[in-house]
Amino acid sequence: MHENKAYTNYLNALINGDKDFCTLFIQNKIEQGADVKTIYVDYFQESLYEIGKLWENNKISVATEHLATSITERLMLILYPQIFSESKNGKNVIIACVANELHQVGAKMVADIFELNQWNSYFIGSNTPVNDLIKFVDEKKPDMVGLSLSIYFNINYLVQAINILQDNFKNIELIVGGQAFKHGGEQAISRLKHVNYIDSLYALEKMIS
Amino acid sequence: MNNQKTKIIESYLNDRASIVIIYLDKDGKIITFNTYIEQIAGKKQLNGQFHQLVVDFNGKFNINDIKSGSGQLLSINTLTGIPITLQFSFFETRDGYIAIGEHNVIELEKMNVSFVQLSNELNNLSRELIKKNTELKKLNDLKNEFLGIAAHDIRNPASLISGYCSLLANSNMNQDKQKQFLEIIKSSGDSILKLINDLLDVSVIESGNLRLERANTDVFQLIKKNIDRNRFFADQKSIQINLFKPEELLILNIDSAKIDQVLDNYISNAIKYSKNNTTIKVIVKKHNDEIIVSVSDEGVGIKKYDLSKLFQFFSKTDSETTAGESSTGLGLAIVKKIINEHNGRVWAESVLGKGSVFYFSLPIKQEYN
Repeated sequence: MHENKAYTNYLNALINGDKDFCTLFIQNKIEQGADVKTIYVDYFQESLYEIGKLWENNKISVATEHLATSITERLMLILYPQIFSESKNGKNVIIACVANELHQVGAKMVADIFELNQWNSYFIGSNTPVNDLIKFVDEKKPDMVGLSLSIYFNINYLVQAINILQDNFKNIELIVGGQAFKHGGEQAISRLKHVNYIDSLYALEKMIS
Repeated sequence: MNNQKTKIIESYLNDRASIVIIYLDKDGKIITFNTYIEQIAGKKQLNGQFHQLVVDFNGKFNINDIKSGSGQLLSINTLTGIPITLQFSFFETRDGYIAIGEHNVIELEKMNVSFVQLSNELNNLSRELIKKNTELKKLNDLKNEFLGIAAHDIRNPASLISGYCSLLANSNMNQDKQKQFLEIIKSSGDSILKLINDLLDVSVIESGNLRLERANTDVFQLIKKNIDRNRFFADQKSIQINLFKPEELLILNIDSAKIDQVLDNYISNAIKYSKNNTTIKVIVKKHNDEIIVSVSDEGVGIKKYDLSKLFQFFSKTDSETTAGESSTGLGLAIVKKIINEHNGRVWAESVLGKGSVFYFSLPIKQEYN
């Protein structure tokens, strides 16, 4: 795990919208030889979970949450040259957020973890209508499709997307994950057949590596 | 008020008014509401379920709030995740109550959604751009490596050809000597040709233009023909090649020319790295839902460290060929690409000094591409 003080400094900077501090902080981490996955899990994920909790408890505004997310996504850009220089194993994955879902940073991390494990990822981002998803799957013929859900209330959109995908592509390999499942979405998903719930980036890595 | 006027007012309140109107019965239970609620709380959920705003209230308002005439509702917009605060006033009617909710930040929220969407798109495009850029950089490095290797590996045989041609032109040597020089020139020419062919294959593969021309193929016959062609080289080192016939007919929908190229690599490698008077075994068999072909030799073997890099471009190993044959360091990488394109796998096992086994598998059901 990270040293506590450094993390606290990073988190405070993120909450205050101090983009420059955060950028320097992550650049230092890279220079010190921290690997991408550690930075993702120990800093990006941890801080955004914490900021999410602060927002849920009305301690910070939604604007602050959006700014923190936006800064984190920009920090991820710094790491991309490292992530994408991995050689590829010939497998493809499509990662999408279902319709109505605007929270995409977690899903993007998932796509990046696939890249780190030598998969080629197609990240099609937030609020993807089911029809677009179907077209894209048909075109790319991926080995796996991952769907992300951040807000539990959107679970019906997820279930609908899964049903339609399974109707159109027999034996399609599906994984789901996201913050929504921390609030009990796991149960709704466990009723669906041939869908794997992945509860963390580590669990994901264990499955694909 | 006449009936028609009432209807106009009703439809206005229902469809166009910028206030939330919820109709309640005498117990505070929600009967219906106007469409404005969807704008602030997100669309109705699927399967006819109410959206979160109504779920929050369990489909019911607090009767004490109603009696006091006003109340507040905190909820969440299901699209944006943005919290919503609604101030309600309650009015008693003949059938129950009407709750009127005010909410003034809708424009701001709409802008916020657009902003988040744009920022998401921008971020995703940046990701795509950096990904492409990294791939281009990798291709550029590969191209530079190509040039370096090509320059080096072509220079040696080219200078041999040039040198021996000068000797042939200048002297009146006997026929035996001439023949010997011509053989050296031919084999140098062959090795340049082989390198250029491999480089062309690699450039096709790397540009993503590898296309399979599939046809139903008898895998055993394909292997048999390949061995017949390679037997000439094996005989020169007194190497015996044994092919084991599978129990059943194995027909696969594959690109036979490309798979032949794979076989050629495996079998000619086995000959290259085998000592004289040894045996090469080629086995083809069905295992679960794939066909596995293995080529085993009693050759020099491969170090464990080299084994892991074997199928990468330009990965020449420490193993030396037994009769000075050449290697471009490209063959096995090409093999891997061809087999992967068929959704199969490649791997190798080896014991240093004892020999190696090279495998490839092809799924029996060839679906994609």
